[in-house]
Amino acid sequence: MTLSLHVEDLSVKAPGGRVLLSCERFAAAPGETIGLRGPSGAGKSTFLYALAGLQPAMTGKVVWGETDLALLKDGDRARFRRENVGMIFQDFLLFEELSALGNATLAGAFSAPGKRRMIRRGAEVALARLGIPAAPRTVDSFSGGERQRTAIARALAHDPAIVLADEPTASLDRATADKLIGDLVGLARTHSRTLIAVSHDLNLLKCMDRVIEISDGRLVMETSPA
Amino acid sequence: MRIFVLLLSLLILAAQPALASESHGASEEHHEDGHEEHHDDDHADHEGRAHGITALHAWIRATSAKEALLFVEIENGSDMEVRIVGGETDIADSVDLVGFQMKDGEADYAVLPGVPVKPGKDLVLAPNGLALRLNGLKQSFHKGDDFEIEIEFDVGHIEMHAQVEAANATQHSHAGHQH
Amino acid sequence: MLRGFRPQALVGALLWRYRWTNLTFVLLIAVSVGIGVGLIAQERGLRQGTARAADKFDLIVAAPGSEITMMFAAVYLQPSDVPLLSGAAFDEIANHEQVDLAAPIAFGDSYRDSPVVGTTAEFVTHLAGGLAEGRMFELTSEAVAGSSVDLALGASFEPAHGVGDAAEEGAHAGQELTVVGRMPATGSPWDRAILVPLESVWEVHGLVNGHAPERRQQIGPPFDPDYFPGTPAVLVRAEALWANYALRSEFTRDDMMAFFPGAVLAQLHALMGDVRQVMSVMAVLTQVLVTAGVLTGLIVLARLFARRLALLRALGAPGRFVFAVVWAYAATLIALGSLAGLAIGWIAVRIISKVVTARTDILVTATLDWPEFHLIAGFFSFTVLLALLPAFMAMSRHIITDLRA
Repeated sequence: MTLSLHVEDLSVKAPGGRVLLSCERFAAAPGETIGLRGPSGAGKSTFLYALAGLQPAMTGKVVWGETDLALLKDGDRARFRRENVGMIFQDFLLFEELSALGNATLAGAFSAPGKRRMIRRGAEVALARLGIPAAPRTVDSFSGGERQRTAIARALAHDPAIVLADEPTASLDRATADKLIGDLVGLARTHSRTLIAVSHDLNLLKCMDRVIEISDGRLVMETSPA
Repeated sequence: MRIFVLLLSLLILAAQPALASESHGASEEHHEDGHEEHHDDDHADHEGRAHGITALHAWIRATSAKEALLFVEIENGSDMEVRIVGGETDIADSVDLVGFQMKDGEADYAVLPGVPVKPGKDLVLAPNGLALRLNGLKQSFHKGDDFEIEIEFDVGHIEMHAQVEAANATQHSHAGHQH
Repeated sequence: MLRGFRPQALVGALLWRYRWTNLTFVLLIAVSVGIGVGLIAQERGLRQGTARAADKFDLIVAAPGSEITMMFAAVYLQPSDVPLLSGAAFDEIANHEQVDLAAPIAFGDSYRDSPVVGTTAEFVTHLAGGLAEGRMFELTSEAVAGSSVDLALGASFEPAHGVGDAAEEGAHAGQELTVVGRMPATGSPWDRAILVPLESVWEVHGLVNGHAPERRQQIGPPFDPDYFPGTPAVLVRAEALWANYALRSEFTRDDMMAFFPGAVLAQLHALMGDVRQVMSVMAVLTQVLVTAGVLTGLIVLARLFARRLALLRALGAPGRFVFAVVWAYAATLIALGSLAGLAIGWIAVRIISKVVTARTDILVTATLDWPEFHLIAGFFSFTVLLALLPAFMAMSRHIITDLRA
């Protein structure tokens, strides 16, 4: 499944009232890959999390396909994420005490039994594709690259239409990062998933269909990826 | 801040009675009423007489349970052996004569058919000994209350008043006073 | 509401990650629970042990004095100087129509740390049932030993006058007694005693032996009042409980006192119950403080794994799931602590009982029973309920703040 994105009059405010991010209009076609760049504190991650429905104080419209996240309650937003969104973080955020498979099938812990089996199959396939062996070893012995690839497997195990990545290569060295970029973008494109990545990494941004500059809480301009 | 709220709620919850055992306690201070009041009492309330038998200082402990043990001093002033067999009262369904015994380290009161008292001798019903057990109490009792009790012997019965003492009392508040 | 949830692996991962902190929590809970459990079980064990040791002693008749002192002397063989009951008094008791058993208990002498007590064969049978080995005494030079006395069958010994440090060895030089029988264990200080015919005690002290000259060889009742030097105590028993009460009333007079060791013991137990109550309050307070400490610790700990919980929610876990993870984590710690507390209480009680049994010769076998299980169940339920608080707090946190911590 693929989903289009349509954002209108989005506004995210901090508890004190300060506007962290405002966006009049933004759209993405299904299966597009989009990079978000900009100075620190500009609101890039704020925008990303708003697209995931993680911002509690959000006004406006964030419509994926036919679903407006802004209208959904927390529980329904969680379900939306469960079914349609895969997330990847800069610090990997794995459970060190679990194995690669245990981490990749994490979402199974809060899914119905049928879905759980599907997630497991998806995780096994993804780990194999990413070259992570299925050993019962815990991930605390993994290298940075192996960890991030495990995180990618986790993000893809439930076959989501959307992949959101927050600085996925920031903790990796150049060579590892390049390999990872290949895996991530490749897997996104193969299944026409919409990939939106916040990043400073030029090599990653080069592979995106579009790159959006965010500054001072506003989507300032669209730059060409090259 | 939240931690203080948590600890406070815990302390309030812990103030609920959590102790399993009932209190045994030492005897209470008896002479709160003062001696003058005692002499103004109608002495007949503390004793009953009939058939040469005197019954003195009948009492129970304050309670709201379904049963109570009544204690009393019996003096057989007659020249024949008499037997105490039981009792009757309006404030309970029935009355049994019971005797204390230790069973496996736990207190147990067994129903007795009667206990003889030889002429000139005393029989004392007291805690951890003999008692008249009042079954099916129809009300609860507080220290200072009193009620009527009929003590039954093989030769007849004695009517008298019984006092309600403190819940942890071990003797009648006027025990030891000569009448 | 929790259908489809499987928090086990995550709870396990978190428990392992903070295993040393968790261990501390579990130990704290275990010790406080163990104290409470041990207290209740041990007090009950002491009560039952002391009561069982006094079980065979229905009514004691003695010369007037302190009931407690006489009980300790006659029932628990703690030595005491007490006046004697005369032959006439004993005769009256023994011949009373309602008395089924009237056995004299004449303590005062000893051999090493064994009290030597003069009595009748009837008493031996009443106290211990049949003999474990050997036979009953038939001469004044014969004795029956308690189960833990360090004398073999056929061994001879010389009794000392008095008991313990005051015993005078050699006061009865030349008077030799031989062990001909051994009692089975009674779980009371009588296991350490040596029982001899009452006549033997008088003879050893150079007194008339309880019988008129023409019946000088007789062992056991009936005794002749004129030749009866006296006995400190008499165990009296009637078949029916009411008859025992009647006897107590009759034998309470100027020259005698009669009492139920069971009733005296009940008064002492009430005292023990008071002490237990005070200590129970302390034990409960300890548990409350420990619980408060653990829960506060859990709230702090929840902050430590807030980031992981935020991750779960970012991946689409409902708030209820995060609640379940934290609550299951806390409940696991509390359960482990409670079970460990049960084990600690059990071990402590076994050790203390062994020590008390060795020291006092009263068999104390404290075990865990329903009162302790109720205590643990109550503590567990209460604490697990309180654990809902940190779980609720974990569920109410701001996801993004925690993600970016």
